[in-house]
Amino acid sequence: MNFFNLFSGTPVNLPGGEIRMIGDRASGKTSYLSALSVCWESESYTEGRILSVSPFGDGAIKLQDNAKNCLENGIPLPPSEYADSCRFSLLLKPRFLMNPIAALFRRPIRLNISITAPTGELIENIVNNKATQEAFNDCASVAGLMIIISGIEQGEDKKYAKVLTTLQRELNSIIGQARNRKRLKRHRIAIVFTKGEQGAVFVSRHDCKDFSERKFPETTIVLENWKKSWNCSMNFFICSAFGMIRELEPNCKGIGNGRFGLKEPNAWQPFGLVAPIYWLQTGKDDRQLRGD
Amino acid sequence: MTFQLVLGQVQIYEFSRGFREVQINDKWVSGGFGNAIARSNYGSGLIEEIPEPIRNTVDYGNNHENLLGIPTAYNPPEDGVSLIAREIDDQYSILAVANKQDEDKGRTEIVGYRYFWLDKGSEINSRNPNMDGVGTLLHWWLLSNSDSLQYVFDMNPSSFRKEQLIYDEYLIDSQTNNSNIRNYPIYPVIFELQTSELIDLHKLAVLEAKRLGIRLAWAWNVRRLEFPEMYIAIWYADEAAKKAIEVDLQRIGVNKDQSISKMASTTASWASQRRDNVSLNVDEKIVEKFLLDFGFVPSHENAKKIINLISSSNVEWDKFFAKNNQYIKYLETDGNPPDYAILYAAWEPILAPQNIIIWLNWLREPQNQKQSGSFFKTHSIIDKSAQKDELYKKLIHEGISSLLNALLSSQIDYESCKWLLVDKKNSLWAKEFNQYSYNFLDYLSNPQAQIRPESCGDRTQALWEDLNRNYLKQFQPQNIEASKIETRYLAELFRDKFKSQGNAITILLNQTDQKRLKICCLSALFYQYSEGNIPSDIFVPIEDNRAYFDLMTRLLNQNKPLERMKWVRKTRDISLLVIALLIIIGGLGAVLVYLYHLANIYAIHPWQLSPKPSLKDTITKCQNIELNSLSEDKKPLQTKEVTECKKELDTLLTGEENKLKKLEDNPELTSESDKTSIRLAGTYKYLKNSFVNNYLPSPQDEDRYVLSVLRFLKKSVKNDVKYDDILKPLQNCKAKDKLKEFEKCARELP
Repeated sequence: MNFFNLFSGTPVNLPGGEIRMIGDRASGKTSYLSALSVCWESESYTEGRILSVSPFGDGAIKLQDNAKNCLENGIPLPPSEYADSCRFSLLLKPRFLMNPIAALFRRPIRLNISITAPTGELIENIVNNKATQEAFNDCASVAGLMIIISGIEQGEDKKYAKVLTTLQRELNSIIGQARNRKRLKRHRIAIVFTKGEQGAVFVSRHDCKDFSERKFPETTIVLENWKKSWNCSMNFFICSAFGMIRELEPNCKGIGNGRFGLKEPNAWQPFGLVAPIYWLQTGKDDRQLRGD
Repeated sequence: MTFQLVLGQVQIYEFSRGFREVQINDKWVSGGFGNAIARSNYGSGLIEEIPEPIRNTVDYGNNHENLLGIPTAYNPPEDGVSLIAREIDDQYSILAVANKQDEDKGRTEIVGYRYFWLDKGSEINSRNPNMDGVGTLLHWWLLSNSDSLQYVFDMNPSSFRKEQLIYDEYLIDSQTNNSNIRNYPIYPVIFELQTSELIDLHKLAVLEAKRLGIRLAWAWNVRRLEFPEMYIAIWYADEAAKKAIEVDLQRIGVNKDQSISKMASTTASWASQRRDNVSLNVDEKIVEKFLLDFGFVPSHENAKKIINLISSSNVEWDKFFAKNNQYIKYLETDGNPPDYAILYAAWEPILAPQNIIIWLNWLREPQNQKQSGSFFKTHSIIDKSAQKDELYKKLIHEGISSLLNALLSSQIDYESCKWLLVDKKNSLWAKEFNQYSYNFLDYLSNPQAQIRPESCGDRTQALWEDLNRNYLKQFQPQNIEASKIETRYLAELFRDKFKSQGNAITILLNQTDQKRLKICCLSALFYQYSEGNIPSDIFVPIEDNRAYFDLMTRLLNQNKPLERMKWVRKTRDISLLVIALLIIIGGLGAVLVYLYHLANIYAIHPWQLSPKPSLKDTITKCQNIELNSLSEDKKPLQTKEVTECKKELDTLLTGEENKLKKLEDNPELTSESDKTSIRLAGTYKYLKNSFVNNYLPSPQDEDRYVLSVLRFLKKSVKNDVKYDDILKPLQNCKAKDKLKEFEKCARELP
């Protein structure tokens, strides 16, 4: 709470923007957004860098309410029947090297984000060539893409490689058709591996790219080609909506059918949630926000 | 009892929630959500054939939400069902039967829906008057499932057989329904799950719906609902469910004490303040989404979506700018509100014209003035997107009326009003204020006219009527004190607008076009009304246009408009004329003095404008005349011509001597400039160049010798010396190449 006092000046607004979050069913999109909406309540989250997360609009408020309920009661988040569409305003403590003026004048920085996460069925539809043009147009309408992949997914490398190949081709044709190829370069694509509290993922959290190459080799090649072809920015992240207990064990409990709920709500320490968003919006890779 | 079961055929249709059905271990589970509607038995089974009101109920808006939906994770218990019913409109009724489903990813909180609906207007159903749609559906479903649950959702695709559902009994409700007084959202009656017959609970809900004048919608055995504020009665599954529903209602902002009368009075408020707590219904949530979209991406496309809503829906716009709205809160509390909050709030003065005063007062506060640029820039985007949309224009005019009304009731200060309507020429309201003024005067000219401009909204109409009927028509010249002084602000506002319209040329030439005259006329009207007379700058253009003068007389209860302190203007005009004449005369005088000065320099005199012969020419002329009149013995004859020429030469020499004497008589009194003028004159130069030696040391010596030569000439002419004899000694002296010799020669001249 000290930071509120220290950084109580008028916030410095960073440019806002829209993000599309694309991921398979049960890959952790809703969990990610839910944890993001309340992460600042986690006492030691990224050493107090996140001062607050304010939801905007019905979608974000509902999501935040659900998040509180599920995290407090240790129940798993339900599948989303409709696209999660939410807007948040994040208030962050500035770092001198990244935001010198704000840090000097002790003004917090404000990041305004609008994230829409189409349901995981979009991935299935792309695999089965049933995705609508409307869905692709929607993805093409933004410059920030967040590809969500479950870090513990087994044997889905080929599927993701196929999905991303198709996605890139379709987006390329839409944006290219619009004779706006300069836009391709402006794109930022964040690859976010979720469920980072799970052992194999957790140990790789400081080298996400390496994790991607090892666990999703074909997907990584497709992504590399995508980056080269568009000459755009791409970055890899690992995050966890549950976090660890004292960096020893995942703070989640199995409740059957491969589902998890929060084990110790009081020790909740999610990590890596804000870093991809911050990078997508600003182009700056903040290691502290990654939880390094 | 108003409810009654009667015999008669009823046709019921059905469809289900779509899934990607997969079979795992002989069990059908969801492999992902499919379309909102599937397995329809209506028509040929195509989803598009289902009437739109039915489809919209379960596939609502851009996000395809379900108005009858239960959030995932709040599914009914295993082997149980939740029932959700709704009268969509006078024609369609629907009953949703929800049950628990599983999915292939291990998640077991999926809700499956099977929907049953009927069309009271269908060929079969229209034979049954007073049919209670939901009651009939419920009655049929209860009877059909009395032995075992048949008509519930089954993930197995083969369970759908597309059977025709014809029933031979229906429920009537003989009591007339007045279900169009109020709209959702409301705070529902929340009941404990009772063991009573379900049909009785339905009847209870119907009675409650009639009491409140709202369409029937109820939910039974539910733990949570997507839109709890959209029901008249909810029977909750357990205590936790009750708490969850109440928390949701609280979050949405629906309060138990939201009575109909309170809501009605808020809506009718003339200049309402921002609402405190507002809950949005499903339609309004879509509107809010459009506003949020524009806040994040202020494109013309997003602006057009909102502008289209102005005409297509009857939205209470001020709901979106309530005090508890997060964007509005930003403006109130944040010294540096984010761009999207401004982009959102920029719509407020347009869409909710009654709030323009709140917005303007906020914007005029010193700490907020820096935001005005952002607001006007946003308004410019909106204006371009509107492209003269008449309803949009109407809202702008309504905003102007709100401002004028606030000005009359001192809710806003004059300077703020002027700032927006006159000074800020690029503001939407300043741009439209001209047209507004023209329309206003047209209205005053003929208030009985049936056709009003499309831009004339209720607020505008009411204000104009009020100003005409209760102000201008009541004008009594002897009772100015009693008239409302606030109308003076209107007079000043129209005057400032009138003045701001003219350019330098029209003002200089005192030209006023017909449109500007209308604004001028409005200003004059309110000056006359509030002060009993009209300032001259407003009165004169009206006085020069008889039609407006007569119109004003008619509007002011047959009292002629009077000019304020006319004598001042007249005196001023005369004074100005005199000053102008003086300036002209003074100017001419100055020009003449200058010309005189020039003339002195170049020896041109105004009285010598006719060509006057120089001394040289005259001497030459006289010399020639003398030569022509020589006698045979070469002696000059004193002819008339010779005499006249001598006389002329003598006059000329006398005049020149008088001028040159100034160089000799009063050298101290003659200024150097005058001396120079004399020296530059033709006579001096002629005498000096022709007869004075060039070696003279000073100008004074030259002056002396020139004068001597002149006197010698004069004396010689007077003595009738022959011209050759006069000039020869002078030329001899000039030829002396030493100064002393010249001086000696000159002194010895005869």
